[in-house]
Amino acid sequence: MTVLEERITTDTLLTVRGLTVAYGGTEVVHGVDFTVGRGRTVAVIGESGSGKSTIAKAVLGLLPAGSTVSGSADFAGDDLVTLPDQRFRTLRGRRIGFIPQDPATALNPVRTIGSQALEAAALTDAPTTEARRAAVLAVFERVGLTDPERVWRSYPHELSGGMLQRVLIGLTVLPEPDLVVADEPTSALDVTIQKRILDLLQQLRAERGISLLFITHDLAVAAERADDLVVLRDGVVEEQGPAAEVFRAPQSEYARLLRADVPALSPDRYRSGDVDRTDAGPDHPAHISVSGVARHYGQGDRTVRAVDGVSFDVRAGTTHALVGESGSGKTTTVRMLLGLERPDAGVIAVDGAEVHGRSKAELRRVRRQLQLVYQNPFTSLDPTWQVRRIVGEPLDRFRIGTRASRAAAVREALESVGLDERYMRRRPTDLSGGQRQRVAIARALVLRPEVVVLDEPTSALDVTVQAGIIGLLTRLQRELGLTYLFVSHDLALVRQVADTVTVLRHGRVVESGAVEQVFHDPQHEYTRTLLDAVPAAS
Amino acid sequence: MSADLTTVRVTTSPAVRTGKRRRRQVVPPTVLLSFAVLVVVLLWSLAPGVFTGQSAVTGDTAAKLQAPSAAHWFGTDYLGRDLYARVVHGTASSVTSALVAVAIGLVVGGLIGLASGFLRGWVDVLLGRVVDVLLAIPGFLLAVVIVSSLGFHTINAAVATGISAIAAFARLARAETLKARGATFVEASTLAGGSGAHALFRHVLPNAYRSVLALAVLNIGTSILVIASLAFLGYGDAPPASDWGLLVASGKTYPTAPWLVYAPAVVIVLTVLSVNRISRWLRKAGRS
Repeated sequence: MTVLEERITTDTLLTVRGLTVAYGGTEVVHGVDFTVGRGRTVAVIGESGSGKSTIAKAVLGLLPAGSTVSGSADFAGDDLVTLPDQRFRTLRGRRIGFIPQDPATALNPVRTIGSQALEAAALTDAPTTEARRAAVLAVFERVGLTDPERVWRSYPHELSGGMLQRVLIGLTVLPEPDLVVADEPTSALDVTIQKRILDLLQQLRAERGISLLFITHDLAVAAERADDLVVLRDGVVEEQGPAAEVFRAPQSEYARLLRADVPALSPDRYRSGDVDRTDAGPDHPAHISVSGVARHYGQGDRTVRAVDGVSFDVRAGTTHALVGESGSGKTTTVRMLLGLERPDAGVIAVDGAEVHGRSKAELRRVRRQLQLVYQNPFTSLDPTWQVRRIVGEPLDRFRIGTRASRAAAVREALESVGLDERYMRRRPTDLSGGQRQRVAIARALVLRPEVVVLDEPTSALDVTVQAGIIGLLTRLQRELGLTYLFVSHDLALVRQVADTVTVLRHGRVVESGAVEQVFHDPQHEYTRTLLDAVPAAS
Repeated sequence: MSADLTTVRVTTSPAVRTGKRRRRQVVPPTVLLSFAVLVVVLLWSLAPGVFTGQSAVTGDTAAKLQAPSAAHWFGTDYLGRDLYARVVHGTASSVTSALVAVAIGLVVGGLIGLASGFLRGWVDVLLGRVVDVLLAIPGFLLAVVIVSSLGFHTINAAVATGISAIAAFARLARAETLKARGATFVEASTLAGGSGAHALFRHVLPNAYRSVLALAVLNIGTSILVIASLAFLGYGDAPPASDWGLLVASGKTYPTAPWLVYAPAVVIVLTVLSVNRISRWLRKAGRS
C-alpha cells in the first residue's frame, strides 16, 4: 500500500452518527452510524422498508416536510442534519451529486436534454453559455454517449433508459462533486446495461476521486462493486465493514441469510444434483412444444417483429427458462402459449393438443392444464376479494366438485404454499408481497394443472422473499410433478431453478439447451454478454 | 437441503405490513355533524307528524306573518301557517324527488358507462356520442325543457333532473370500468375459466363502483338544489304543496317577513352541505 493510498483510506469525507429519521410519529431509521472514506464506494444494502432510501434523502437534505431528523452527518466540516437550506443549496449538486433510480422520470419530457443540461452546468465555474455547452458535450462523450450533439438536441423519450442514465451520471459528475449518492441507479435497467453503467461509475470514481454512496437492494452488485458494506434492516445497521470481509464471513444472522438467498452467490442452492432430468431419452415426448412461432405488430415499414420464429420444447416434470432482456419477446411468447394472443405463424401444442385454431370451449379445456403466475402480485389479485374466493375462483369457474370439496381443495392449496386457515378471510391488501405471491401460486395450483407458467414470479419481491417463493416452487414441482415454464431476466436465478433454457433477443432464439451446457459453454456472443453481466463477488 | 425446503419461510416486508395499509377509521367531527343533519332530514320525511303538531295546510289568519318565536320556530306565512311545519311536511317530497333523480342518473348513466367501458368498440362510440349530446346542453336548461314537455309536477322535475345527470355518471363509470377492465386480475380470471359476464359483475363492477357511488351521494345535494330551483320557478307541484324550493319562491313576495325565505333556504343549504361533506369523506376513504 503506497503512502497516497494510505491517506485516501483513512481520510473520511462523510461521517454519519446516530442518524434517526421519523415520518410523522413513525421512526424508520434508528440511530445509524457509518462513514464514507474519500474515494471509497460504500454500499448501503437492505430490502424494501429498511430505510436505505431515507438515509440517502437525509444525506441529500431532501427529506419531506414533516419528517424529524436527529443525530449528525458530518460532511467535510458541515453537519448536513442541521445545515440550513440556504447553505445546503450551495452543497447540493456542486459537492454532493445525486443519481436517481429511474432515469425516465428524472428528466422533464417536454424539454430537450441540452436545455436541461445547461441548468446543471450552471453549477460549474464555466463563465459563458458556450463554455458550459462545451463542458456538457465533453462529459457526455466521457460517459460513453457516442453522438453528444444528437443527445443535446434530443428529448428524453428519444433516448433509451441506459442512455438517459448516462446523461444523468454525466451531469452529476460535471461539477466535480466530492460525494455522489446513487439510489438504485440500475434497477430500472436491463442486466447488460446495468453492468456497463456500474463499470462507468467505477471508472469515474477512480478518475475523479469521487466517493460513492451506493444505495441498493442487490447484495451481489454491492459485493462486486463496493469497498465497504452497510447492511440495513428495519432502520438498524445489522452489520458493516469491508465488503470482502462481510462477504466471506458475515457476522450477523441477517447478512448470512441475505448471502444465502442471493442467487448469484449460491448458484447450486436448489440443484438436487442426483438426477439429470433433461436426458429423458427420445421416447419421452415433449409436454409443451412451440415451433416456429411468430407475432408481428403494426404494418408495412413500421412492423415490429415481437416474436420471430421461436421454437422450443419442454419435457414433462422439468423447468424450462425463457431468458431475455426487455423487448426480447419472452412475454409475448408466453401470452401466445396461454392463448391470450394469436400467433401470426407457427404452432404451439400442449400435450399434443394445439392451443390455437380451436373453439373457445377447447381453449378453455387446454387452459385447465395451463396456469399462469403473474409477475406482480400487487395487481394480479382482485383487492375486493377474500383469499379463499381468489384461490377458489378457478374451481368455481370450471365447476369442479361440490361446494365442500372445493372448500377443501382451497384449504389444501393454501396449506401447500404455507398459508394457514387464518389467511382464508383476508383480502390482498392485508398481505405482504410474498404472501400475495403465495396466494397467486395457490390459485394456479388449485386446478392441479400439469403446466405452470411463471412470468418473472419474483422480480417484484425482496431477495429473502424470493428465496422463500423459489424454495416453495421447487418443492411443489418435486411433490406434484409439475412442468414449469420460467420467464426471467435474472440469469443467476435461472441457473438455480431451470433444467433447460432458451435465450431470446429481439424476438429470436439466440441459444437453447441444457442450463449446465449454456452456462458453462455459451456458444453465442450475446449469451456470454448476459453471463458476464451477472455480478460476482470479487 | 430438503429440510430447508419443507419448512416454508413466510417473510413479510415491512413496507406492506398489514397495519400500515389498513385505513384508519377516525370519522371527522364535521362528518358526524353532517350525518346528524341528514338523519334529522330523513326522519322529517318519514314521520313529519312526530316533529310538529301543527298543520302545514291550515293556519290561523289572525297570526299571519309572525316572526320566529317559541310557538312558531320559523315564524308564520301570509295565511298564518306554521312555516316549520310546512318545511317538515315538504321534506318528504323534496328528498324523495332528489333520490329519484339520483337513482335515474346512477342506474342509466352507470349502465351506459359500464357497457361502453367494458364492450368498447362500436358500442362505446355510439353511447359516447349520446353522452356528448347530453353534455352539450346545459344541465339545468335540459331539465327545464324536459319538465316543460312532461308537465309541471314534482315527480317530473325529478325525472328531468335525473336525465340531465346521466352524462356525468356515464363518463365516470366508463373511465372507472376501463381502468378496472385493464387490470391484471381480470385477465387472471379469464385464465381461470371465467366468462366475460363473470369478469364484469364479479371483478370490474366491485372495483369500479366506489367513485361512482361517491358521485351519486354528491349528486343528491345537487339534485335537491336543482329540484328546488325548478319548484321556485313553478315547475313543481302547485301550492299548498310545500316543497322547499316552492317555500322560498312564495316567501320572496313578503320582503317584510325575510324568515319566509331564509328558513327554508337555510334548511336547503345545510342539507346540501352535509351531503357534500359526506361525499367527499367517502371518496377519500375509498382512495386510501
